[in-house]
Amino acid sequence: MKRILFASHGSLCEGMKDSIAMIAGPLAERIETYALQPGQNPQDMYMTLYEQIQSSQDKYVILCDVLGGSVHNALSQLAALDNAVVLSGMNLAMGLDLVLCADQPDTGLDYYQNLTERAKEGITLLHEVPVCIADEDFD
Amino acid sequence: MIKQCRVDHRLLHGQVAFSWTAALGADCILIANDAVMKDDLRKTTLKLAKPAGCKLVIKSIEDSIKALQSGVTDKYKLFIITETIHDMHRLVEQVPAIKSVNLGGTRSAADRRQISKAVFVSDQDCKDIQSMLQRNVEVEIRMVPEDKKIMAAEAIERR
Repeated sequence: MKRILFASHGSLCEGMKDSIAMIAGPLAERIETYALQPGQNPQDMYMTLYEQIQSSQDKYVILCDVLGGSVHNALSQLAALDNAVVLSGMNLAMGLDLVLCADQPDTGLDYYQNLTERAKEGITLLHEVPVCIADEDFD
Repeated sequence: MIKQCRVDHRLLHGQVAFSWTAALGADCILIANDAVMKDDLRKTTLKLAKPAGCKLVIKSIEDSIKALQSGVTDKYKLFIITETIHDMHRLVEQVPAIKSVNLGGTRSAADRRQISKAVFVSDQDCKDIQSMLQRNVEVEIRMVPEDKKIMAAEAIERR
């Protein structure tokens, strides 16, 4: 089974789960959230998860809020485990992608590589909206 | 092949684009709408919302019917979206291949009553739903594919 974990400074991860539920409905229920609160140490979060993941047969995907933040700094150590991958740069598109594709069989490293590429493509700037995208028709 | 028909006043948006196309394995979305066809800006924003790996065709109701009747759509796993129940009824009347209609969301208005969280119906909508049911077309309410189907006829009766 695959476990999907969201981790963040404060309750971003919980809000992200809430927003995903609005789009993907009950699929969001499988998201496990780890919200670091003021005064808590991210290294403790890491130790707890390390023990859990190390002794588990499940595959873990951990989506952290921001590269270089203390949550990702601590949890990125989990990537040393065979059954864990760690992603940074949490956004709605990535979260949805993880949840909607969670049970597809082919979710190896390539999948996660593609996921980060797709997420980057989802970051755009619009100024004057281009009206030049060609119409598509049935072939 | 028609995988799904959906009525949604927001047409193509996050919920539709991600959740439904993934669940259906759709490779083509047809937006059947007369107003959008004439509105380049709105058409462009819909194209920007298109999920990767999926074709997006926007046609008037009339042209949609022609395309669906001609057979050019047969090779696609098609997801058809209309803005209103009335537009969907126009398709159902002319395209016997439509066996099921999903109501995802319709606008609220003074002359419409709420029959589910996101579906509001006028008297005309109720007649159109009745007419679709008489053609043995299933009419059900769901926001996302994983929701349990609520039959429109029962929802109307309850309210």
